[in-house]
Amino acid sequence: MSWALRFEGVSKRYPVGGYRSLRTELTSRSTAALGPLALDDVTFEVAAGEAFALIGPNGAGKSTALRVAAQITAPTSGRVRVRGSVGALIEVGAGIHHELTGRENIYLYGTILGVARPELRRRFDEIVAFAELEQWLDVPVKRYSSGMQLRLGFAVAAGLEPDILVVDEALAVGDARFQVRCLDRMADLLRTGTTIVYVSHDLATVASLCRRGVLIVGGQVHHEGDAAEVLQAYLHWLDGAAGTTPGGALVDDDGGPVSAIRPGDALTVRVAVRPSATASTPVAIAIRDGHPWNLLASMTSVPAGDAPVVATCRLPSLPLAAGVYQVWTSSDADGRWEQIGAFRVVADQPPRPVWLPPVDVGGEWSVAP
Amino acid sequence: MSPQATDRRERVIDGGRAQSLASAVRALWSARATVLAFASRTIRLRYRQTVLGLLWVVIQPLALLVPFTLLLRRDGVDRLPYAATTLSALVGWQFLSSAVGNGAGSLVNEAVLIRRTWFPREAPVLGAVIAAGVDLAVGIVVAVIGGLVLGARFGSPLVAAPVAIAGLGVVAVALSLPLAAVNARYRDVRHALPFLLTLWMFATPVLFDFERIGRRWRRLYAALNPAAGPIDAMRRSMAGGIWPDWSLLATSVASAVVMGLVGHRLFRRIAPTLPDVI
Repeated sequence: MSWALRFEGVSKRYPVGGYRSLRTELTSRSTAALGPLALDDVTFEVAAGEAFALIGPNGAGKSTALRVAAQITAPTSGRVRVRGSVGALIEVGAGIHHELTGRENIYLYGTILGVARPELRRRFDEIVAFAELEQWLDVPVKRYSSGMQLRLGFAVAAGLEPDILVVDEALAVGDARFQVRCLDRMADLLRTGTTIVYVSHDLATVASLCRRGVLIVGGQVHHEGDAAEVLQAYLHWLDGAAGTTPGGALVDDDGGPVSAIRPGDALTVRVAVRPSATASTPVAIAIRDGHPWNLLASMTSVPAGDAPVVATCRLPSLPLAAGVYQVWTSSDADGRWEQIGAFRVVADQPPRPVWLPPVDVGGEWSVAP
Repeated sequence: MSPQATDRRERVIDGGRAQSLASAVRALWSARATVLAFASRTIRLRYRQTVLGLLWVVIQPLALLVPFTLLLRRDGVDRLPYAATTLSALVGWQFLSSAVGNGAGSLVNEAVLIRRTWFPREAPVLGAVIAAGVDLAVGIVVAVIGGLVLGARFGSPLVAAPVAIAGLGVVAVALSLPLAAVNARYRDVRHALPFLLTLWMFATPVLFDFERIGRRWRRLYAALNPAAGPIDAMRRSMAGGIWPDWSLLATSVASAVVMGLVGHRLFRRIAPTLPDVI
């Protein structure tokens, strides 16, 4: 597939060192000091029409990468190649003017963002409905609640229809309904062939939306590849577990390693257990979706013994929605959990609404008039 | 569609050379709606929460006219009707001063947007100049009505007025672009500008007839002060009933074009660093 966006050895240093007046500039010989590398020789490629995730801890350089891609800030060295127009959803709403009314802002902020006027006119009612502005259209935005301001900003920016859309995690600040809208809009754009570069801390969202991505740590590309792989790399990095021996494995019914399954597929988890010599040892496995709590679990007990054993648990049918999940295990009485692997559930359905939990127990529905 | 949407070719974003003039102009043209949005926003905001609103455009030159006429009119010496010609010049000056003043501050005012959105960085500056142009349109009506009262001589030279005004627009753009970019980096500009604009007004034939400058110096003067040619042309054509000195007008405009090209070069060099330094 052809690429839409390519980072080629991109490095970026921001100027640091406070304010400089014209006088210091004229009298001191040094040029403005540059800070540490925010991006350090970053290279990756985003294919046309795919959703691509930028993952990494705070301050890793994800947002800088987005800003470089959106042509907002220039790289210090290296270059970015872009095919097509780029639109950015970065802190939307920051450009909403507080003295202007909602109506004025829809047109003026929209136009400044690069949304075409006919598009704004066509979406006007939708924007008004989403931001719940009906009574407030001709009131200055400074009288709005912060939620209304945020929704207004997003609703206007959602009209962007660029070839490549870069989306910052700042979108995740709204309430659940707002996030659903954001994701729906991105899914719509994906269907029409837009390339999306997405930064988020919400790993479940990344997993359901993105096919590929990069993990950026300390300004450097740590891992590039399949979204599930990248998420796994990130989780490993988060746990500081990179390099240690995992205490288990995820396999399929034939014993081969598994990184992705389909909803309802079986999954077998193998856990290395060192049992207590005197009493039986409880062994549990649990599945999480990036949050620090268990979605579902299964437990057994291993009889007392001297030698390490392998406990194998076959989960015959996992009712999980598309996303990335981690398998955790606990085999001591203190209930300490340890991550032993991760897998991805791949589904053809569009991403589930974010307010819906990822476990679908498969209730039997009927609807009567 | 985003402003760049028309440009589907492959683009390279790097920190190397500044944008070329041609590509800057192309980008600006495809983002013309953005320029107008900035202008419209400035106009809407300017008189919001004011009681008198657009009346301020009328009040200011008329109020200034009173002391200047009382102090500087020389009965029997002035070749042109002093009050009427000075009103035309004041209206023109008010445009230039507001365009350059607001244009120079426009990038700093839009810092929030500049750090988060891409658009041609000239857009807010040109928006400020266009917004000042809307005030000028009101000012021209004031100058014409005031001229009727103050004894302006209207005649066929009136047709030269649009040329003079367009020339003034060139001067405004030429100066506000580099000032806006430099102001983003060194806020010294913000402190220097108001008083420099006042000094500049006294150095421009706003309050005096250009003919008080010796004939052989006029050409040089019009080149060094590109506001001189257009303002003088406004005085003559809008209220004096005589044709402007075309060579002086052309000299000023040519000088402004050169200043504008050099200034825009500086602008293009600073523009990519704006989100980091503003």
